[in-house]
Amino acid sequence: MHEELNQFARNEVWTLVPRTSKMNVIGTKWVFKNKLDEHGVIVRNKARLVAKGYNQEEGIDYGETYAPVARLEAVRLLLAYACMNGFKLHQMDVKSAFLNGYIDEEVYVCQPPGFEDHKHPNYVFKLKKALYGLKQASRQWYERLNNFLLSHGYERGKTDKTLFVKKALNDIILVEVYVDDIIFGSTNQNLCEQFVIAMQGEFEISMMGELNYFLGLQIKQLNHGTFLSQTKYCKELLKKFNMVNCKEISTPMATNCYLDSDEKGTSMD
Amino acid sequence: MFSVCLCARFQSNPKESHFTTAKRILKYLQGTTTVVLWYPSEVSLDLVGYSDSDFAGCKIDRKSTSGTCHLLGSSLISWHSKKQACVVLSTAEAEYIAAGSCCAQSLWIKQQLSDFGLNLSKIPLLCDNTSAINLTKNPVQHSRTKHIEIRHHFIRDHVNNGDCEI
Repeated sequence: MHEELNQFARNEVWTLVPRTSKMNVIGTKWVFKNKLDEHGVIVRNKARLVAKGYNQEEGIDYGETYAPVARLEAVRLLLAYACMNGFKLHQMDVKSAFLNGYIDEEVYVCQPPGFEDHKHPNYVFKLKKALYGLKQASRQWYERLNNFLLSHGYERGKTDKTLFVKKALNDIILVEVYVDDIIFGSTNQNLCEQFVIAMQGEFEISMMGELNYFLGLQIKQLNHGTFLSQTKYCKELLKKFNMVNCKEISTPMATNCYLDSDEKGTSMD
Repeated sequence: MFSVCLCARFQSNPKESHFTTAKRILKYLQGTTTVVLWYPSEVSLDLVGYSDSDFAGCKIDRKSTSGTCHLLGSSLISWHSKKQACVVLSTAEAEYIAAGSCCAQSLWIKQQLSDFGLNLSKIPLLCDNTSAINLTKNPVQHSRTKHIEIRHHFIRDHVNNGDCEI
């Protein structure tokens, strides 16, 4: 929790102001989560302060909330393209990404439970940057990253707004953004390094090395090709429905299968 | 994918028969946990789109289902299986609509690849119905096809422009 609050201080997320009756103050809450790696082992415990975004009023507390994310097809296309051109893709993760997004509206939140200021217990925080749980958080983050990359000479994809491209002579660097996960790869190692350094200067990032696990896809990049599998996801799904030891079947559905609303059937609800 | 979509249509009021079908999908999944997609390197970069459809596959409202997939070189990039939005009168029409959605996806991939710095021209689109293929080339409107909605003629336009060929 302290780590999270330090993160807030470092990003200059908020300032303490006295409460007035005009403000629509949004509650905050701690959320705890255990982070798992690709084998399902707990890597670290995480505490995150979130705003109760459902108390926000449209027009006052937020305007636009839409933010683009990469399509899975785009990710596969990028993988196939990278593979054929013989370069590897890397992955990075922006720490507390949403805390980087500047906020345009005036939003006030309560002090975090358990960490109230002793001198001013009735004060509220005025947000400078977005907080997790706010409706506009993802959009503001995307906006910030977008502006940052565009100012560094990247071009945005014509149809895919989450793809950023920079060309230098015969080399090219491709960057695909999925909220705070960033996949990138380049035909030239130097371009990659430049990108990482630029990102490190602007945001706090953690490098995850080569792309091996992304959105439930297990990826293995070899020299002569790339494997894509969802073994872990499948197994979790089976576990969830208690079907780990069920018999295998070769087809997902019988050819003569006929489904309708089945008015007479027993209800399963 | 088709079977999952079919089951999902009854989510609001699930009955036992739907439950059995859903369980069968999970059993199938158990058998395919080790199957992976393989993207080999060092093959030519060309995009091919395939499209197919069934005719009046849905027994309830008699709409057809279109299925498409796209291969870049020999790696599978995108696929979909979707119930069409309207009822059709002939197999050719169903295939024609499937080819249309295949074409739309091809164009998206083409655009994406041009952002990567790879320009493709004339994306081959494979369709297994001769009259549907002829429909895209020949703008003759005879009695059996004149009811086809304008939006489905989208593909014809792109064939004329040379964006794709069938």
